[in-house]
Amino acid sequence: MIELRGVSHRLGQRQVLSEIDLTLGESRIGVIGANGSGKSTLARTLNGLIRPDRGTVLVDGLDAARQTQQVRRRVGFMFSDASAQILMPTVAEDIALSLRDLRLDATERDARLAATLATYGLEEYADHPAQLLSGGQKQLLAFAAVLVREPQVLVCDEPSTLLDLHNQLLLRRTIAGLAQQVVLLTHHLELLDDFDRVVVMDAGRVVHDGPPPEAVAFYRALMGERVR
Amino acid sequence: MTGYYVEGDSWLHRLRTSTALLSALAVITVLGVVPRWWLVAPVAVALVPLYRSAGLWLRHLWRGLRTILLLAAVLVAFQVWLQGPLRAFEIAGQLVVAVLVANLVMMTNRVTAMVRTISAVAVPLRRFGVRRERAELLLALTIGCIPRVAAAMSGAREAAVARGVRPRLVTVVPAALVTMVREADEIGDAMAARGL
Repeated sequence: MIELRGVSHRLGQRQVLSEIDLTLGESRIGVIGANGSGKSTLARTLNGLIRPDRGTVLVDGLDAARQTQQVRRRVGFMFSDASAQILMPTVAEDIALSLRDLRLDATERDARLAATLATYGLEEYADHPAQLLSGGQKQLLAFAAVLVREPQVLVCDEPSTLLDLHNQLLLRRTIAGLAQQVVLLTHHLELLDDFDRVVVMDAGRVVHDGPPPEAVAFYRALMGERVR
Repeated sequence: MTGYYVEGDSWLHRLRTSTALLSALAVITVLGVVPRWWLVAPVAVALVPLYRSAGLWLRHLWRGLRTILLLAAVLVAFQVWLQGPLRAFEIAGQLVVAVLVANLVMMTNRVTAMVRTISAVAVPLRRFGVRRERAELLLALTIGCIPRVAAAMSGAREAAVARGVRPRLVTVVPAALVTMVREADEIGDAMAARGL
């Protein structure tokens, strides 16, 4: 369970989040909004990448700003550019890096690594240079590197932005199959069809919160007004 | 990471990474200390059967050479003018052979194995606060930055060309630096997100 209480944050002169109050308990939650609406800042507060100027973010009762390491074990984070998330030379090494601080013995670590490689179809690429994978494979590797830590929540910050249609469908299937609670920030509204709840953000505020059809319709109307 | 490793099962592939690295270091050091034609030439000739015995072809030799060809050409021209053709051959030859030796090691040893071997040196430094895992991560990240830097440079160059601007160093380097600083920020976030 994630709770945001009175969360506000400024970046320079700009108020990027204003008094956000949310309780996120559903299994699949979408966050939509125009560029600069505060979605990414909101997402980054969920695992302590950004400490809000005011308010608190609680994950299972843990304060994301103070108990950051414990919160990061619970909340995995996917960036929009999978390449930026790859840190190690090979696929296996990159996944293994995520296990480093979990203090697992070698047998358990190897077993978890092998299982994760198999789950994401990356077995044959284990020793492959990670940066030479295709865009879709990099996205799978990013998923694998985050999920190998077995977080309870996965926050995805526009993971479909750089993907072609095939890889977007693959992403949708991967997300649908996850046991974790998922908070997905996206501009691809069709990814949210099966979601439980969608939050619409605008100018750092939550302007709508509800089931996907209503929220998406609200967002389309809001953007339609802006274009006129 | 740089995509240098070439799959194979030759004796050079099976050689321990530490032995390969130490041998390469020894050859490059000797060439550095004694950069004379009667040493550079036989080592250069010996590299051909070594490459072949590792199942590597001319294109692999070229892959290593092309990165330093321009530098070697400038070096030769400069040294011919300063010290004559023989000395120019010795100095440029020393550089080319050193790169080809390093190239051979990189093509027959996985980056991961090299990182592990090099970071093992950090073990005795533990008493001074140097942790092997940290050293390994640092090395891997450093190697990982090579394609990122190359991509940033080529991206900035292409952006200049696309706008009809001649891609000069003064325009390309600052743009690439901005990209790299942004990427460094992203790497920091990615490490933090993984709890590192």
